Amino acid sequence: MNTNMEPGRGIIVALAGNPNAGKTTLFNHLTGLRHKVGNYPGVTVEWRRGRWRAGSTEAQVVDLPGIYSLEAGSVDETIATDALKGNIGGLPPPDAVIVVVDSTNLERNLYLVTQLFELGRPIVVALTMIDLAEANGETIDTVRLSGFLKAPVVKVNASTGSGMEDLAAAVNSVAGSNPSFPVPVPENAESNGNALIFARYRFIANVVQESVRERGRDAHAVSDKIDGVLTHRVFGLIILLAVLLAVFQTIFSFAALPMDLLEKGFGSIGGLLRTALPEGMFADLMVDGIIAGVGSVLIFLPQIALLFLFISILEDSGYMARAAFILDKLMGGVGLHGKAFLPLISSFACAIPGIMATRTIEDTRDRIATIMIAPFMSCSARLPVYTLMIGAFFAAYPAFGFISVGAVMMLSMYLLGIVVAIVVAFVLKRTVLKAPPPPFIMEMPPYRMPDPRTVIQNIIERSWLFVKRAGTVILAISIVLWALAYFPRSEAGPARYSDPAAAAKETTAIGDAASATLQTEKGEAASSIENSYAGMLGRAIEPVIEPLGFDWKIGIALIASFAAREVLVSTLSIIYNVGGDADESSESLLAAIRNAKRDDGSPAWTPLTAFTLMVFFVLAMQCMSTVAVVRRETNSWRWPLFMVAYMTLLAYAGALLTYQGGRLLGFG
Amino acid sequence: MTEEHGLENKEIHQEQRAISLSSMKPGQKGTVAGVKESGGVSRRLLEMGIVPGVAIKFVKTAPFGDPCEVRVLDCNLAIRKREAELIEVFLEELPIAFS
Repeated sequence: MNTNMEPGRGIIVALAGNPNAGKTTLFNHLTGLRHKVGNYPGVTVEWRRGRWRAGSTEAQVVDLPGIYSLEAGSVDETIATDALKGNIGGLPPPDAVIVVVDSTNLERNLYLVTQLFELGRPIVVALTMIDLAEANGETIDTVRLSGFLKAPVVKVNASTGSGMEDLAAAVNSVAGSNPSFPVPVPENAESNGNALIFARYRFIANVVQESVRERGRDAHAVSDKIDGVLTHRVFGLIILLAVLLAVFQTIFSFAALPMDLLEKGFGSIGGLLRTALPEGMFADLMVDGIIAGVGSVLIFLPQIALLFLFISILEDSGYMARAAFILDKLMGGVGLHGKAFLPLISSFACAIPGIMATRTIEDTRDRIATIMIAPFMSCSARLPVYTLMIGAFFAAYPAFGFISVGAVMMLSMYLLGIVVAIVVAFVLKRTVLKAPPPPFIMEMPPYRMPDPRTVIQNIIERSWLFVKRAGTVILAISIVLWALAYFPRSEAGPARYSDPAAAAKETTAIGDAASATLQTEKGEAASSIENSYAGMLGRAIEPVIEPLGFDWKIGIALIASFAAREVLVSTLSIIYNVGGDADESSESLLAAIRNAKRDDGSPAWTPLTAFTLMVFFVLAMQCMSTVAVVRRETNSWRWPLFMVAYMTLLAYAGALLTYQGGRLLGFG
Repeated sequence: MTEEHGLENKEIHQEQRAISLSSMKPGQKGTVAGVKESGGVSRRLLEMGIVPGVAIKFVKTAPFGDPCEVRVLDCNLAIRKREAELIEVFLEELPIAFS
């Protein structure tokens, strides 16, 4: 017998089952909050394991991906099969397998059970949704069912906790034993690959007929009525739009308050540290590097939590499948899955939750294609940049009727992102991610009330993963970027500033009524960033960005904004001596940008430069948090690096085309 | 039960001409006659329970014309036209009652 009875670890129990069968709810009930989330080595599939006290036995429960079959060759199915066979490093073969079976859908769910027997692991069948099956007028005779399957069958209800003792007893009784194989194998199974499938279904039909009584009531009556509206030709579309709008509205506006609070919180922590710590490099690192860098990312937490609240509810209620059903035709046109819609829409708020939301897409290639184009959706971090550029150069233009040029500009930036995303998806699906399209067979589960516990745990899990994984990478990059802008540091301070009088004159010229001391401080900040490594880099890349119409000062801002797009605003403020706390609507910053001069005295910015910069920001991958999240979600550095590379190339080409094209047309 | 699965009734329909699932109309019912081979697709369909002899109902088409929704083994599945064309169905002879 192959048991893993080591002291302290107990037995290993794998949890298998179809998607939507209630596997996650059962897992959460068995393990509570004591579970860990990880990735199977080298793939995007996640595994979760946790501890369960199964009667007197200590068990480790491993949650396998939700699957319909063990042999069709998707990543999920391969992983599940490998885990059950013990072929995954660090994961011993399970001593018992609990198969979660949805009682309202016995035939299809039992198919996986018949396949699992072939792996030779002892099996316990856990029947979920018993109350729903009984409401449909079905009575399942578990004793008979168990007799046919030659394995224990237990009715469980994870929301009330009933049946858990029986489940523990059944697991203990079979753990480590050799199961019997109940399905008759047809004679032609060797020659005809499909004969085994037919044999399994014939076996199941017989088993169900013998162990289920009083069927016949239409189990789909309620769901069909709801579907009559929700996937209706007209109402379905209207409701879908309303749902997306509600999600959008919430993550955009209602998240603003907690985000503001977080931002203020980090601001005051920074302020407190500033006064508490002795002035110097360490204080600067803590406040300007770590608190500011990590804080600028953690403020997205409310958006992520809220988005996952919606995603969990939409998924668990069964509506997500309907949304994908309605939109599949549109998404399929560019080679994406219907389920790609919500992640892409979410990415208009922030690509991070959007990319995390792609996990609802089962096929890996479809999922990666969606991840790769998500950052083209104009996220909220681009808004300050658009606002600044439009405010500085396009606000004064006359409006056509009630539409201002600024609004048209803004809209065209959003549209540019969408169009490029479509083209890129189309190209990726025909090149890098080329594969025979996976058959599109999506279950439309009956509508169900989402389990609050599962929803809450999902939110906590996603939020924590974001804080933990993204946080570590972001912390490191924040420190590096801070150091680049900080070193080399001259001890002489203001004395190094080449021409304080000129700086003062410039400041006065743009109408800033700041005090003399403030001017000196700002002068110092500008001077130190110019002489820093970031400044040197800005000068070093000038030949490269010159064809885009950007001078080296804009170059510094570009480099800094590779950490996060909105950093452009604060960096420009520092470079143009307006003070780091100016925002995108600050008049002094707008004036400073309009009046900024190149080293040769010509204006640094023209409307064309501003437009080019916006195009660059639509297309470029300037968000370290997104890179960190893509790394986590794809479980490799390959995809995030590819993303940075192709988006940077695209941004450069797009900006070059805009600037040089614009000049040919006589703008700028 | 037998009526619903129809696994044993397969022969009864044998003389009928099978049509493609993609040409069925909303509300129409029938019995799966077979799934045409096309790479790994047919196997996937079979594994989801679309095996010969099983009762199938064409529920509806999505608002933009694709995919379609069918009911097999008490379960609603969305299938794209491309896959639906592989599934052959013996239509139920009785006039269709739209529900």
